[in-house]
Amino acid sequence: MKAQDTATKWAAAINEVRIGATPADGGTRRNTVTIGGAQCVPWLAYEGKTGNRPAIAVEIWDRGGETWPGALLEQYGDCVKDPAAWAKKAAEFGADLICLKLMGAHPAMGGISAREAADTVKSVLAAVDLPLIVWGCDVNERDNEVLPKCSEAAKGENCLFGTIKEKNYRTLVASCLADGHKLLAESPLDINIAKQLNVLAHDVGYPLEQLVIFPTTAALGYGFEYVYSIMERSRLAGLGGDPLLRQPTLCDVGLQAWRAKEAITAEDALPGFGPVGARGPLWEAITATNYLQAGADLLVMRHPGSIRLVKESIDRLCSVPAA
Amino acid sequence: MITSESGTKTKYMVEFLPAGLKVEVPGGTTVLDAARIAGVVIDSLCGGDGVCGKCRVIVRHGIVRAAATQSLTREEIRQGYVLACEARIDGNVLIDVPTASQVRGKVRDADAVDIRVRESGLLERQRNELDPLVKKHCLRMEPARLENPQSDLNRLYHELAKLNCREESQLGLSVLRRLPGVVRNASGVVTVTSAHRGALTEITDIVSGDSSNPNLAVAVDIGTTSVVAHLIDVATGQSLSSAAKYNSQAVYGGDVLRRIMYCIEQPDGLTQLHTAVIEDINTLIRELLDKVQLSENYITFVVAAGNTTIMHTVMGMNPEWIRREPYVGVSYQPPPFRAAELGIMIHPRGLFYSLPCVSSFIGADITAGVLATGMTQSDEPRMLIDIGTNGEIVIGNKDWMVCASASAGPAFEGAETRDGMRATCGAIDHIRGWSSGQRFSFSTVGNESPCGLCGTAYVDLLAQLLRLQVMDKTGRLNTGNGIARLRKGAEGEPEFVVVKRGERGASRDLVITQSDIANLMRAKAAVYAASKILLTSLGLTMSDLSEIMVAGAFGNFLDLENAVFIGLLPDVPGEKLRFVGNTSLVGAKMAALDRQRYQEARRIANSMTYFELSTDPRFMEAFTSACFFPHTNIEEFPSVMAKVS
Amino acid sequence: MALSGLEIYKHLPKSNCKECGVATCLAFAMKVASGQASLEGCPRLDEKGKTALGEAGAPPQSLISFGANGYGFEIGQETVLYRHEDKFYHPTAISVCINDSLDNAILEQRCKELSAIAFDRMGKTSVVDMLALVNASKDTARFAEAARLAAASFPRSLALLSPDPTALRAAGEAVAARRPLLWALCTGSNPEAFFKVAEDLRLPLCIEAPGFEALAGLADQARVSGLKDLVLSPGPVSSQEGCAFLTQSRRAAITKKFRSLGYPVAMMAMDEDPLRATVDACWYILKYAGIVVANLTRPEHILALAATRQDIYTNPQIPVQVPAGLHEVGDPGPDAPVLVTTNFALSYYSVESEISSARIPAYILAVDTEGTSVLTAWAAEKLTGATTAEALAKARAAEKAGHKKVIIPGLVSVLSGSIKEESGWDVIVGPREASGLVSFLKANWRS
Repeated sequence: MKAQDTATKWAAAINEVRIGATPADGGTRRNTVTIGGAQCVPWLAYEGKTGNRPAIAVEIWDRGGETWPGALLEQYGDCVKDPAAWAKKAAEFGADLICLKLMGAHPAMGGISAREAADTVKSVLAAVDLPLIVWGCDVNERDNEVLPKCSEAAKGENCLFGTIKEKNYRTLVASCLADGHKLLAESPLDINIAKQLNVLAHDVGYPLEQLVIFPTTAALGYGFEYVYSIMERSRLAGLGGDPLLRQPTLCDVGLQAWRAKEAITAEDALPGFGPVGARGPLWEAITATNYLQAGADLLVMRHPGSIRLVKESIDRLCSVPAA
Repeated sequence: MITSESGTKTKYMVEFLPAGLKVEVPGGTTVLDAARIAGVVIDSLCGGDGVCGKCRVIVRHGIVRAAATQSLTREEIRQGYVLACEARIDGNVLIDVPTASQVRGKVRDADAVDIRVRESGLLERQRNELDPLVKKHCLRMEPARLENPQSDLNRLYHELAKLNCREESQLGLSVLRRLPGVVRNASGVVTVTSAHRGALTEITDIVSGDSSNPNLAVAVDIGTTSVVAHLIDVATGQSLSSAAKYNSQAVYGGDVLRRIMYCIEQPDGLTQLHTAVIEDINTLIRELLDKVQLSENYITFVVAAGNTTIMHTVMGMNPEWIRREPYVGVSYQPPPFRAAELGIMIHPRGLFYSLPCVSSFIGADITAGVLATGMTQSDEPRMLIDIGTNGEIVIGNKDWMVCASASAGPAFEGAETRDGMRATCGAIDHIRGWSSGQRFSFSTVGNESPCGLCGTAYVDLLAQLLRLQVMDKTGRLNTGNGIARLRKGAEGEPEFVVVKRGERGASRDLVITQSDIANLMRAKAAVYAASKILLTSLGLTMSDLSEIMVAGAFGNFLDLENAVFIGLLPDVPGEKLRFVGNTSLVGAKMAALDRQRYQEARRIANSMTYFELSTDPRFMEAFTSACFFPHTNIEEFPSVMAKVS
Repeated sequence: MALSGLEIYKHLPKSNCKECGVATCLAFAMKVASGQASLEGCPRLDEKGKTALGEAGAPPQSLISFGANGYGFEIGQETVLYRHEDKFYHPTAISVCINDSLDNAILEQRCKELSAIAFDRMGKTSVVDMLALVNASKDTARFAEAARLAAASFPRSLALLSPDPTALRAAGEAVAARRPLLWALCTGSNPEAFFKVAEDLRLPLCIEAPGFEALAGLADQARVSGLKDLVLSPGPVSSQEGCAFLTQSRRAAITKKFRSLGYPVAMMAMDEDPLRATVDACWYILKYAGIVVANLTRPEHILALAATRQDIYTNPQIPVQVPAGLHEVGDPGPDAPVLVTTNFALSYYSVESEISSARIPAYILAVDTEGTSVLTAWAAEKLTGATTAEALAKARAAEKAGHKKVIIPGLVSVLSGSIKEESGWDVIVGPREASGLVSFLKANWRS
């Protein structure tokens, strides 16, 4: 028996989804980012093409950035008060895309108007020439009010908008269809709901090939294995030919990793765990690199140190030619 | 159930309309209890917990005490509606029991007719070789002679042996005492009744003269919801008459768990349950006999099938331990008893046979179903799906047999839904399509004015709502699409008006609500998931099955295509899907007519492997994935996929 | 892939004699298939059946054990490629390497540091399970001496790595009582000599060769010379190649029943940059390594390995539960409703998501029902008046909520009386489904 005999012949490839639009495409981005395209289980180059390089989106908030953990504020400084400046900083830290979360739309964070949110989107688009992810505040009524305006404001830029959910998808699907954006479909740690949501979006006219799925993310040590298994199953099904799971996958790593006790609690409270300054970025990085083995295509991250390590790890994964 | 707060209890007169029955009860008695005493049966599923909202009655005169309840709308309360289980008598009252809350005594006779049609195929090959559990033999006894001074009994055995009755016989003292008189009458012609008792035969009766015809038996399926009985001519194997009614135990709770609770919590709860179901059986027997104008003395035995809990209550055995870990019953394979001991009115020395149960969760109805469908005879594995409050799945062939049970809930039986009802007169049973007049065309049981929907109508309705895109595949009603019949109900919950007030004489709007859909979704998902997991546990797939048979409460009317369309039944080629109707009854009948089949039922029960799904983590997964129309894994429904795209 | 229940059943007597303690032969076969029973349980299995099942039923991957004195460690005997198919059984041994060329004092110091590393997380303690002593000195006597020293100051498992059979024998003999794992670096240079050492010392042997076919050949050779306790190492490779080899060998053993590679795999994460080594080691843990030897010293790096291992070896077959007790949703003040459900995650979250999406502040009392749903728990008497009362008292719900009114699921309205009796709380029967909670609370809850 040879190693090659253990290779699986897969029926399908993961969809390729392109985000961003250059002037040639009718947008203003310097370049676009294409994710997905794997024809094998993660990184098994000996059985198929490993697809496009996983991309890193750096997360910024329109409001409330000052509530981020100190280790992150040390890196971003006053930028967190100005989304445009923050986006520039993120670009410097090596972002492939910018992930703008419109936290300000949340009633508890000020509940900004749709117009204000749309202006923020425009200012970020003006500040950097990277492709953009626009993410709502997770309160359905507010998202349905705010996101359509943002979608309109970013028309032609081929952004990734999110998120649609099983119980709230019609409004955002309609906007993104009209304005030519990609969609991020969120499901709560449930492969069935992930599929169902894709059907629902498809039933109201959205092409399955333009969806990115977000199966929810957990930090290392906090339910990571649950998400990991869901991603593995999803990837196996997608490669096996299920059109409802052939979408590339996004992991919202930064938010979750920086909630973990291991990332933010000082050593005096966790004796023997090592200095918190080292643990924080490491926790974020390892959460991200671990997800790469389950098929993560797009990682949303925060700390420049973690971003560096993850990029370098991706380099290593991508550098080995197929056997 | 008398309130204890007042020391003296004034008695009040309660009259129930439309029956006109009156009863005097102490103040504080609930209307439901008063009705039970008066002999008025009011529909109640929760057994008086005040949660099912089925026992609506109208107070015409007088005073009752009742608290506000979720189950009634403001308008209904203004009209005088109360829940019978919560309202307490506080004066002389006149209570009107509206049609929707009455439990009608008779199931549509068509049920019984259909069963007869369906069973004919199953029973055909058996006709020539009848070997019933109880036989009547007419024989001429050789008179006693000096040269051969054999005792009366020995001469009887001798004659029986000539008829190939070689089993060892036993008989009761009273029969023996009558023997000398009987054998010396009518020139020694006697009729001997001999009953199968495993390895033994019991001579249950002996009379002079030839009374071997007719020899009648009753086969009865005792369901949680309804009881169906057939009167069988043992000589020919033919059903002479059929009858059905609702299980009167329903007033003590809609499902078996609630009835067990009733037994535990009420001092004479078991007696009440026992009496109720025995009375049902007797009522049916009287009806069966009325139709053919024969006496109960001709009925020599009864064969019954039902789930384990019901069989316990029939025999008056305490079902308490069925629901307690480690979930064991008193007996799953009780021997035959004298029917009279149970209070069943047939020949005084007639026997009552119950088919064997498998476990606490798998009853004799399933053993009977396996027997009826001949699953144990085929090489290829086949599946039997019995849709009821508990959905039961059996898969097997001649070598092995497995089963599982999934709590589907009673949504398809007309409970847990706003306008659901059992398939009684006035129930919408089939919805054909959305006409250009912006309404559904539908049929009702008995062609009466519609007053609710039964399970089969829900299957059609869900399929229609999907086709109309009024509902998305998660079951969510799409209130945004401007369809006039879609509205927000009293509590802001979306609902769809199936039939408008006035339409074909409907007295009110009949609706399906968002929660109704959720309940129906869960029921269909439980059935499908259970079949899926059972197959997976065996390492098989749907395509390994040579046939899928559907039995149960609505097997007779079910629109197959719609049932597949909503994902209740697996999407297999049409010829592999078959309705087998009430297999519990057919199995009981087969056993009645053939001793080997009766023994086979015991072998089936012994060899059946039960799978506990509730603790199987994969079940929850399969269940969630089935909570979608038709299913999250649409590739499991190729024919639906083809229709949709 | 192990045999299915039906395949096993074919060889059983089919008598349903119940002598094995199980109701039917098929039920017994299913138990054997899932590893809950062994074939010896069947008193009537004939020789033919035993032979047929014995071969087919042999585990596709060997179980290898090492270590002693209460610190034994087992790896291997895995049954699946993906944990959702069953679970991963034997957690990876986390191992840190040390060179025998270090000064005695430093060596001892390092061993002590490593043995002191411990992380208490989620009720479990993770440690460095194995110390991998590398014969960097190329000196036989030194290697044996260092092994003795390491054994004295590190109480858990030891691995001895050397390209020299003589050195391996000397060190192995020196600490044989500790049952170390012998690791033959570049086994191919002198395989028979290494095999002889392992055979003589009766110790497990890690054989090393570059790549799939070379290792399969070497493993066959070792097996022919009578060795059973083998561990495979692909030697120094990139993490990409390492992960590929791990998957190939696991697939070969489990799905192809390729006995030559039916052993656990040991991986080395030796990158000089500790961050890169940490990333690699975590990948190896995720991707089936039985042992991962990392060139790490800092606790935070080892912590990442320990957390990754703890996660990936969590049993996915156990129902997901939330902690039992009183959960606060949306910052409930006094007078917020108290809702009863079970600690089954799906039950809990169906309640939680309804009220949090409607932004109703409330307390949710998750009664410990061992992760069963409301109705199942009620039927099994895990959700009763007594257990609910106990949970209310334990969580000091009355103090927090400032009232004694509890809302119970409509499905278990029968519990109203017993809860009131046991707890003294007023009981309000809520809707049967969580979907009805919001409208129910709006209509009925006025503290």
